[in-house]
Amino acid sequence: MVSPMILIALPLATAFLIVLIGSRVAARWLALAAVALLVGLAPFWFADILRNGPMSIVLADVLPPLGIAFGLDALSAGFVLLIAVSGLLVLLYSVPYIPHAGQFEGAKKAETRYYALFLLLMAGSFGLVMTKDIFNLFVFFEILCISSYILVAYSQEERSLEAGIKYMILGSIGSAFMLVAIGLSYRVAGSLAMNDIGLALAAAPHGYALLVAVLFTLGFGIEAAIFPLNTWLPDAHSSAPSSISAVLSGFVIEVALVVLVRIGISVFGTLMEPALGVLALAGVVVGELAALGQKELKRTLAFSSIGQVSIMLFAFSLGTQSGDWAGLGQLLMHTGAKSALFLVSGYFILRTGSHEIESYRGLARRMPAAAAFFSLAALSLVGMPPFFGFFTKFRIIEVAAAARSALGYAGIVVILFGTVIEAVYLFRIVRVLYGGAIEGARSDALVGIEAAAGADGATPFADGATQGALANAAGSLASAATPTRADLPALAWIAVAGFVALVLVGGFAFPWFDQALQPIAAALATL
Amino acid sequence: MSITTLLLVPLAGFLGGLALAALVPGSKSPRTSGAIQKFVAVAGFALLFVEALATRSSAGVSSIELWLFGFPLHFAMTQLSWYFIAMVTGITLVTVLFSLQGLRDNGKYPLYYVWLFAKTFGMLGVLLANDLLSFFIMWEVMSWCTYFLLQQGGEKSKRAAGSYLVYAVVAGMTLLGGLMYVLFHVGSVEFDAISKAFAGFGAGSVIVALVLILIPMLIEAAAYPAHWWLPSAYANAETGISAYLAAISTRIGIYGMTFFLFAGFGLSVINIASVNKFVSVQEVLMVIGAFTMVVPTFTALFQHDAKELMTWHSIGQGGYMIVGIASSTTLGIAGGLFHVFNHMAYVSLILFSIAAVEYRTGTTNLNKLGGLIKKQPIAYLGMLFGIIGLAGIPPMNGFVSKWLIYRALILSGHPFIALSAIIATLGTILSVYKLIHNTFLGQLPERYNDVKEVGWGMRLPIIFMMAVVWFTGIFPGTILSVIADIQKSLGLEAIAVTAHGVAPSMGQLNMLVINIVFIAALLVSWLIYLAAGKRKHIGQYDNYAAGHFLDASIPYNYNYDFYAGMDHIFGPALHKPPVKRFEQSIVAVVAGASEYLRRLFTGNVTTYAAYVVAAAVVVLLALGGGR
Repeated sequence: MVSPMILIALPLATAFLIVLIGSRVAARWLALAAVALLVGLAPFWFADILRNGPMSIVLADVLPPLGIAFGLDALSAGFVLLIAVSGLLVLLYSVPYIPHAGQFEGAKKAETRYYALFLLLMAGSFGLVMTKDIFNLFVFFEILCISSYILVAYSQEERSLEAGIKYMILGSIGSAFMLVAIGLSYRVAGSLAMNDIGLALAAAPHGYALLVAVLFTLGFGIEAAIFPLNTWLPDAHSSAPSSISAVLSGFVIEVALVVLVRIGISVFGTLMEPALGVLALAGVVVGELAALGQKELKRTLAFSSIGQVSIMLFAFSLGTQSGDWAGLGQLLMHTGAKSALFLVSGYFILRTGSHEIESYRGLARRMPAAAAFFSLAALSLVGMPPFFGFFTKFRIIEVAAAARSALGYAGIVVILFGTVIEAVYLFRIVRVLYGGAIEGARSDALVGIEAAAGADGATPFADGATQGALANAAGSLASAATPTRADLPALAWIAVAGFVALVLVGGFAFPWFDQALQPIAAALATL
Repeated sequence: MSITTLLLVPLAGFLGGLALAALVPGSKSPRTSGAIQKFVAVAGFALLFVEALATRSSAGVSSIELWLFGFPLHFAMTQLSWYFIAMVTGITLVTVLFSLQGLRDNGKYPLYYVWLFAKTFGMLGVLLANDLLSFFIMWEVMSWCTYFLLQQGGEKSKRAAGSYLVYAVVAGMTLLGGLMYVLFHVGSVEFDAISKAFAGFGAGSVIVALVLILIPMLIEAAAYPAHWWLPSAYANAETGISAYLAAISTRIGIYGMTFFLFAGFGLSVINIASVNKFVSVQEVLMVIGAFTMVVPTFTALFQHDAKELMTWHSIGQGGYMIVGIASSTTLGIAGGLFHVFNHMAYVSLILFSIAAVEYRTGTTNLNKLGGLIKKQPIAYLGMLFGIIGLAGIPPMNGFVSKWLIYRALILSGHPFIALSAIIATLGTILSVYKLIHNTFLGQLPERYNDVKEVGWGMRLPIIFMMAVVWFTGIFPGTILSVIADIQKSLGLEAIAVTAHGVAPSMGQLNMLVINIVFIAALLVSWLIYLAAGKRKHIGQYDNYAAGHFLDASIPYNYNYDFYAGMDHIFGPALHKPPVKRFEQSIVAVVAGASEYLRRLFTGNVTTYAAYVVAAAVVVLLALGGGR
């Protein structure tokens, strides 16, 4: 059995190699090969841990507290699998997508940078879920954050740069909070291992422990998008290249959240739970309602991520194992659905050259598969049976009712209300996609590129009755130019289909997922 | 096997249709793919109807348990569900047959039949569900499929579908809340367990559970305060689909109401769920029913679109069903359930006629139509039969159910509800007169000189539904005996039925006698008319106004803005009623909150940093202050 350290070593080494070689073709294939290898290995670690229990890894034979300790248990192995698979799918998508994402000088050369940073981001995520000492946690957290700051600003458009800088400023505030919390913990524990810190803090005065807990939670909570620390998210998730939006919404905030919850339970006890529960419910209301008011597709999705992450946080904050279990289910579903939504919207934006929802009118005829994937993922996110989202939401409400507390009942009301709002804004988008005539058929270079790829050839597009009225307004362009079908390119199609398959299979094979999540949820409460 | 077949056939139709649509690109050969879809639809729905009729014998005995998604889902055929299943499958088949010709542009609605299958799957699932969880799952499937079916129209209907979705999701989430409430008070979603537990509960818990579960049923049934979604959603669909939607789709809510009041939770819930004689779930339902009868019916009076007028009636007629069933008397329940069938028959008949007119004239605007009686006689007769049924006048079937409901209301001591039923009937008669007059009577506008009757593909369904409406008027016993079986199976006192009506023990009604008297009266008046011999044929331009002769180019057309005077008096209250204003204010509050919360994200990093610090201070104070 290969040591799980390869999860960190391989992406790091490949990233350096990519920068050294400097060829974008080599960068693509090296990154894909490296992540594919990890995807192949991840299930074996997971199976091994389910059979033999957690494994702990000691680097270079130096034992803690001096050495660097890593561990792989059901939770981290599950996340390793999730990160590796999502990473591979998004990399597949990046191959056709990234050449169009940056229209700046030297974009071709920058593509190698994209893949190197992407691998760094993955290495940071793997490290976060595996580390056992709090200082390494900080180091991997920084690797993850810094690579994502740069990736958000990848396209070098004004809005991406602005979003990247905002993200970096807030992320740095979070890091500072964390660093203070780590210093304070080291002062009482004299060790960086999380176990020791937990014991020391339990013995420390309440006020001291509370200060550490709050600083740490808020510092980490910025990355985990807890309300009101999530202000950077709408900008960053909507201005990043769509592949990066998918990763950030798909697993980065989730990894941060789960690591935070895990440390919260094991190190700080139940200190933070009531506060987190209240913040979570506020986050659901704010996220969903703010999403309702958005006019841009990716901003809507970004606000929806705030709402969804808050639903997970609410489940975790109930402080029961079944709550953790329900939250993890929601997390898995959200990774599938939201990644698919972001990836599809990347091509909506590419095809129309616009971020505005209104400009996607009738796009379903040009991109039938993309629109169908979008609808399926949206159905799951809203929680329609028999999609995955229904069962996870059902379970969360069940757990909240079982808690028999004011917070639990409030949570049920808020989640049900959030679902209504979610249905409204997501299906407003679906309605536009399947709406009447297309507006301003885009005839510039991008359509030309895809017209060559679109082997389907010309598909008659005019729809007499509906288009008649618009034909005058939109000019003869729309009706005369018979827009070609320009659906997702093959690799992007596969990537999106992979995520959509998760929400479909998750619904129909729910008992299986349910079973698989149980040991993971059990591991969440232990370190 | 029968239940499985009933669920699998529409599911297969849906999935197969989707696969077909994906494989045969409609834009390349709309004719071929349209023909394939039509064939599959007719075959599938015919099979369903035959299967539904054949499973009558298994009602009450057959049930299945499916392990799906890790939950045991129970489905069972009961007398009550069989009655609704027969109606759903029957009217769907008739609608599909009608729309073979009636759908004007197949290419425009490539997935119409596919979503019809899906919707039927959801409806049959709801009707067959035998535990609360299955009921909820199928309910959600049904709502979403309705949404997608409504999406198959033009831009207006898509917008209407959006507003339907909001109501449907609110209904679904309320039902989920009710499901959770029951699950945590009873510990089970099985109806047997729930009935047993509820029998021992106090009024409070049962009322909460019933309210949470009945609200979605009333929203689906478009009962008074929650009816605003229906007219735009149904009227903007293609007329064939409107017929189907108005005839049966809404009535699943009535099924749910009947089921939860008398079957699912046991017979005793309706007695438990009351605070005192005047405040109880039953009385509240009756008041809701009364409002549903009166307000939408009078709103229908002032509609200038034939389809919209009918959709308002479809809401109003639901009110009769609600008061009948909520009265929980033998006659009332029988009348309410019979009214579901009658309404289905005549409303689809009227909408078929409207569709026939629209097919030839291209409009349903009542200000523009008129005088089509000689051009489209079959459509005219269809509408005539339909509106006689709708107004509840003998000899058609609508009279029987309304008679039962009036009688039940008066006997059970609800004089005011009975009064509102009679007021609503008055409104119905006034508005259906407007409907038939503005469409078929009066003067024919010149542009319709070339209008012809529609083809046999549309004529036959109209004639068939005419036969149904009249036949069940003469022989109401055919349907009432099914309802008697339902009442028996629920443990209620069954209505005493004869072939032609109700047995003397429950207040005699013999529709055969009424028909004979009615026809004889017609005959006598016709003879008098002949004997008087004062007949004179007048051309349609031979008219005058206040002594001033109009020339031939100006028809004296009083179709335009019918009931303008009444509209002037009552209109302001009905066109923008408090309900609509309430809905708008909710939307405004949500939109305002959304706008306000959106502005929290100022885009200014300094503000954001301040949020972080503020959060740290607040959390520290909140948690630290506790000790």
